[in-house]
Amino acid sequence: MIYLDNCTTTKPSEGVVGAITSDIWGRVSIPHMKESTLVPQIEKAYKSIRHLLGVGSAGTVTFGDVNLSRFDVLTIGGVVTTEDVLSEMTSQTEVISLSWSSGLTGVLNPIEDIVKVCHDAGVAIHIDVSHAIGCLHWDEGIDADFISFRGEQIHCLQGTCATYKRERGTVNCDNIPGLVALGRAAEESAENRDLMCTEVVRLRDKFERGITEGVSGAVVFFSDSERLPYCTAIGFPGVHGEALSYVLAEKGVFCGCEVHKLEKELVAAGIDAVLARSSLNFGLSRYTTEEDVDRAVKIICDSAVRLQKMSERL
Amino acid sequence: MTMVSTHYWSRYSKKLRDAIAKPMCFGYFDDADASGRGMLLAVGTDGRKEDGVIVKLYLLVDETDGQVVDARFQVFGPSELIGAAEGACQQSLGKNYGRVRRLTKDYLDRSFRGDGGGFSFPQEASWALSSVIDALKDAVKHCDSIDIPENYAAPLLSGSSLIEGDGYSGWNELGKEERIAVIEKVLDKDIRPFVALDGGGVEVIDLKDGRELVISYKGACAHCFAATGATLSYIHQILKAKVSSDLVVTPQL
Repeated sequence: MIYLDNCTTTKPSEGVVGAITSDIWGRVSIPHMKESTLVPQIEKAYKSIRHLLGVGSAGTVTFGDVNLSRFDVLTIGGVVTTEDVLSEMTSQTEVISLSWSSGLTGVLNPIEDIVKVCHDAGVAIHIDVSHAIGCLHWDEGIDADFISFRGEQIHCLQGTCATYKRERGTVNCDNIPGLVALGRAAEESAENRDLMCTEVVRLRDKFERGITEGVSGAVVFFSDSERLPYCTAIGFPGVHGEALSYVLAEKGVFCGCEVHKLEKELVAAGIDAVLARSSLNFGLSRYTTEEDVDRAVKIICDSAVRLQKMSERL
Repeated sequence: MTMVSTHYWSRYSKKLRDAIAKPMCFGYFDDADASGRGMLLAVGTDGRKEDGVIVKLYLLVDETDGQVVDARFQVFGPSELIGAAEGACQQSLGKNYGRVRRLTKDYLDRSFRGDGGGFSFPQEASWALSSVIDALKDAVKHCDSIDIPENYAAPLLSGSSLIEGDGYSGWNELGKEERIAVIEKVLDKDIRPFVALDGGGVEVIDLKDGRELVISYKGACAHCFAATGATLSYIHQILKAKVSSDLVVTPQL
């Protein structure tokens, strides 16, 4: 199996799985003495998550997904510009919610400009940094009101997530195993950021080169844009994207599975509709090896060339 | 019982997965291929590439008897359409265009089923069968000028596995109505779909003495020579294998 759908979800690391032992359970909020022994581990986990988020000691960082239910929220998906934010915002909007980057194409949204536009308009901003957090540095901090990420994007367990909010508040310790796992994943993710920005980029570029050389007309989208180091979206003219993803899955190569969402995002970015339907996205990870890339390129090229023949007269 | 709903790819039948992985009929014919082989080229399409899904079928048809002697497809579409197009080509081979016109979704789905039963194309994928049926209908429009020989006796189904069986267990204990219900089920599954390809039908009139089945032919079968010959023999064999070896089939003429 060659797993290249790290945009959707990632394999939990052995460190994360090993971090959860049978001693880690209970709730610190109840008056047993037992749980207080876990406080050092809880604090360590939060320290690692704060470090990864780059928020220093500001605000509140807590385990769990962002909860914006008390606000009037405008969620904007995909690639977002400051113009989109301004045109979609209404007088009721209290919070704008968006992702730092597209998880499909890897394209980064101009987040600093968007934050400024929101704050100028007196609107708060929530940024989902799930896809970007494992590879981008923002030590100077982003001036967002809420920041959240999902652990499954950084080799943690599905269902783990953490949220930063600007205001001071209480910290959630209800899921100590989840928190400890997320802390460990955050630690590993921070250690591997440089690897993601160097070796993984090299492999991603090699992957793209192999495919553009091996499949006639294949085109890498957004290669000139600022994008995440492990993501790529590629158009295969004459090849139906879903058919290619099926054939690849049968051969043990798993590409991005959200082909319809990708198509929509590409069309929104002005790419021809038939080419958008002929596209797939791939996401490498720190576990992707050079051998994986070489084998995947060969399988993808062989499959795509065969599918091109299947529609050569259409 | 598991309640997990899986992606529909995992519910493709084995034969369908094989057909998508290694389709035998992909390609195309052009006018030169057709004239070189002395055949009529009948091309049919469904869908449009601009809309993101298209299937095009190329049939080479013998102008002396209307039989499809070769078939190819081109597809721009998802995996199920590749499988369906392969099935449409395979199932058209050796049939005259009249039978091809009567191919149904169910018939194509059946051709990919294993012994386990159940649909080969999960519900989410069954649109592809409709699409290739429409493309076949579009293709055979070009064949109307060819006369199909009148005494055409439909070849019986290939593959003898259908004609194997030890009868219906517990047959002897059943009453007349229950016996007819068992027979109806076998007719629906193993006989009617194939007879329908020739525009015919079969109905149960009576079951006399628990073993003499009186049937009547409908549609094209009613005035076809084969109905008292090859087709009757086929029906007889199927019912003996799947219902009871004592059964005798008598057509009401």
